[in-house]
Amino acid sequence: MTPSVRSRLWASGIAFVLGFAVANYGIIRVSRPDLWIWIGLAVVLMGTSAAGILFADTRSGLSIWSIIGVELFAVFTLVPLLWTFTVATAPSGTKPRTVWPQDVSWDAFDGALHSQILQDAAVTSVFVAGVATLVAMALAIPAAYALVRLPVRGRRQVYAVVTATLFLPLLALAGPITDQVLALDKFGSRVSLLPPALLITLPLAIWLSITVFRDVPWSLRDSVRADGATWMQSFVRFALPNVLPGVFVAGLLVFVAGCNDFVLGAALSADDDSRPLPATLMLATGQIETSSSAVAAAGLLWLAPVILLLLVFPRRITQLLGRSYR
Amino acid sequence: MTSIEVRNLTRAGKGSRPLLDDVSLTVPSGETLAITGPPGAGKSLLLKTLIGLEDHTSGDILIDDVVVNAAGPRRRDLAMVFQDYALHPHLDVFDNLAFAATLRRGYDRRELSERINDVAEFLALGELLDLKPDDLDDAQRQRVALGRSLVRDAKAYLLDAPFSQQSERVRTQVRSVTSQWQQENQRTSIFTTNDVAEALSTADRVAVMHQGFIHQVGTPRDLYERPADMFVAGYLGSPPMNLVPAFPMGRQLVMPLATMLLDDNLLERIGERGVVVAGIRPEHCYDATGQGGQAVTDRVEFTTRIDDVEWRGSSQFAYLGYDIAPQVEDLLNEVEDLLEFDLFQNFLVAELAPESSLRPGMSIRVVIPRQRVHVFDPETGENLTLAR
Repeated sequence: MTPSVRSRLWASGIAFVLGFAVANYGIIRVSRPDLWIWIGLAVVLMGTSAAGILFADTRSGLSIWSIIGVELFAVFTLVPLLWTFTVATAPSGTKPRTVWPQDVSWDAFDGALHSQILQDAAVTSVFVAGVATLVAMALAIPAAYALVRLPVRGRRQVYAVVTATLFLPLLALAGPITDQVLALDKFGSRVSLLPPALLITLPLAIWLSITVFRDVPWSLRDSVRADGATWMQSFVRFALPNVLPGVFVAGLLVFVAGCNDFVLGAALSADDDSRPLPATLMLATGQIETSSSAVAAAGLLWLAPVILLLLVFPRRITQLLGRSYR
Repeated sequence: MTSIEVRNLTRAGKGSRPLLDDVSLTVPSGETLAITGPPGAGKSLLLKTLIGLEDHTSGDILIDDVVVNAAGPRRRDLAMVFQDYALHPHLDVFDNLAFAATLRRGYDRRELSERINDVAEFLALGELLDLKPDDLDDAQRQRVALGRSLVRDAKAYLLDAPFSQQSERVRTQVRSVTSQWQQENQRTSIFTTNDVAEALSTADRVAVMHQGFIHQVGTPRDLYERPADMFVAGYLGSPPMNLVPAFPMGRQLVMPLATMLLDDNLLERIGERGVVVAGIRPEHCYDATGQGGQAVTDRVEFTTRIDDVEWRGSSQFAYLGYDIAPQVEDLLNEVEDLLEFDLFQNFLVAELAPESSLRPGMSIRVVIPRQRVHVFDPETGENLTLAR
C-alpha cells in the first residue's frame, strides 16, 4: 500500500468515525427539526468516507483530508449563520428553541431596514470606510508600485512593517486615540473616525496592492510599448484590463474591512449620530424595538454585500488573499 | 528594407562593469543577425535598448542611418518577441496576434485578418485562434509571441530567444519557416539565443556576447574557424574547443601532450610571452589510424592513453587526461574568474570515427594538423594565429 493510499484510508476512517458519532448523538440527544442538521452532517461525513475508500487507489488530485477540512469548516461557518438567520426570523417577542428556523417572520428585517438608528449607523460606516478606503488606496497604490517595481532600498523592511501593522492591537490604540480626539474637541463626530480608520485601511490597502502589483505581467507593459502604443493606448489596453480589476477588488476588500471595524467605532463615538454600524449593533441593542432579532437581521443585511463580493469576484479574491491558491 | 547600426553603445551598471560595454554592430538591410552568449550576457538588454524600452548611457543607435537615441518605441517602429512571451491573458490567440496592428490607425481589418491567418497557418496556430494564452502550453505560447511580431508590418524584427521552448522537431520547422518568411519579405532581424548551433545554422552573421561586450561578429564559419579570442573559441562548438596551457621554448611550443614547431610568423607574434593557450577543436584531433589522420601531412602528433569514450550515435569522443602544474592552474583559474566562464579542462577531447573500436584504457595515437592549432594570449584572450 502506497503512503498516499494509506493516508486516504486513514482520512476515510476518521470521516466515518466522525459521521457515526454525529449521527448517534443527533439521534439520541437532538430533537426535530435540528435532528436533520445532525443527520445531514453525518451523511456527508460518512459519504465522504465511502468515496474515500472507493477511490483510495486512484490518482485523483483531490485530497480526502482537504475535503473533510472544507466540510468541517463549512459546518462551523454555516451553523452560526443559520442560527443568526433563525434568530432574525423568529416572531416578535419569541426566542428560537431550535437552530432550524420554524415560524419564519420577516418583521425584524423590515424593522432593521426602517430603523433610523441603524440607517444612520450604516451611513456613518459607509462614509468613514469609503473615505478611509479612498485615501488609503490613493496612498497605497504608489507605495505598492514602488515596493514591487522600483529598486527602493530597505523595501523588505518596509514590507515587514506594513505586514506587522496589519496585526496591530486596535484595542490598545483606542485609548490614546480617543484622548487625542478629545483634546482636539472633535469627539463624537464622523470626521473624527476618519484618521483612526486609516489604521485599519492603510496597511491592508498597501498589503493587498503589493499582491496586485506582483501579479501584474509587467513584461506585457514593455511589449505594449514596444508595439508602439501611445500613453493613452497603454493605459486603456494594458492598465485597464491588467491592473485596475485587481486594484478595484483590493479597494472593495479594504472597504469591507473598514466597514466592519468595531473597536475604534465603539471607542470614538459618543452617540448614535456618529457611531458606525458594528458598534451600534453591539452597543445600542436596548434602543432597537425588536432587540436581538433586529440585530441579527441587521447583521445579515450587513453581510449581504460581502457575500455578493465573494460571488462576483471569487478568483480575484482568492488571488489577493491567498496567492498559493492560484 | 531597414538597416540598424549601433555605435559604441554603453549602459553603466551598478558595479564597475557596464551592462553594455562599448557595443558596436551593423545589421544591413535584410540580414538576420544572431546574438549568442551565455545567460546574463546582456543580449535581452541590448534588444530592449534597440527598441527603446531601456536607456543607454552613451553611444548611438541608428535606424536607416538616422540617430534614434531620443525616439520612443513607437517612432522606432521595430517589432519584438519577448523571452517570456508577453501575451495578453484576457485576449484570445487571434486578438493577441492582431494587437500590435490594431494600435495603428487606418489598418485594413480584412487584410489584417488574412495576414493573421497566414501567420497562424505557418506557425501551426490555426486550431488555436480561439483559445486564451492560459489554455496553451509554453511552446504554443512562444509561437503566438513570434506570430504577434510577424503579423506587424515593422521596419525590423527583434526576437529574444524566440525558439527556446520548442521541442527539437518543432524548433527546426519553426526556425525554417521563420527564415523563409524573412527571406521572402526581405526583413532585417536580430535574434538572441543561448543555443550556439541555432545561431550558427540560422543567421547570416553571428555576434558572440558576454559580460555586455561583443567579442566577435562575423559569418558563422568565420567565427567557428577563426575565433577572435579565447572566449569565442571556448564558447562555440559542442564539445567546445580544447584550450590547453602551452609554453614557447625556442622554436617549439610545448603543450601538455605534444610539442609543436612554431613558424616564424607565430613565433614573432608570441614574442616574449612565457605561457600561452593553445586551442584545438576536437574534430581536428584525428586518430592516426583513421582515414582523416592518415591524410594529415604537416602535423603535430602524440600517443596517450584513453581515459573515457563518449558515444553519441553519429559520432564518438575520446577523453585524454593530462596534468597541469599548480602555478599554471592558478593562472588559468584567474582567467576563468575574470571571464566568469569555464574554459579549461584537464583533458583533451578528440573526435573518433563512429565505427572506431577504441575504448577506455587503450592507447591512441593522435595527429593534429599544425594549421588547425590556435594560439591565444592568456591575458587579453587575443587569437595570435589570426594574422598567419
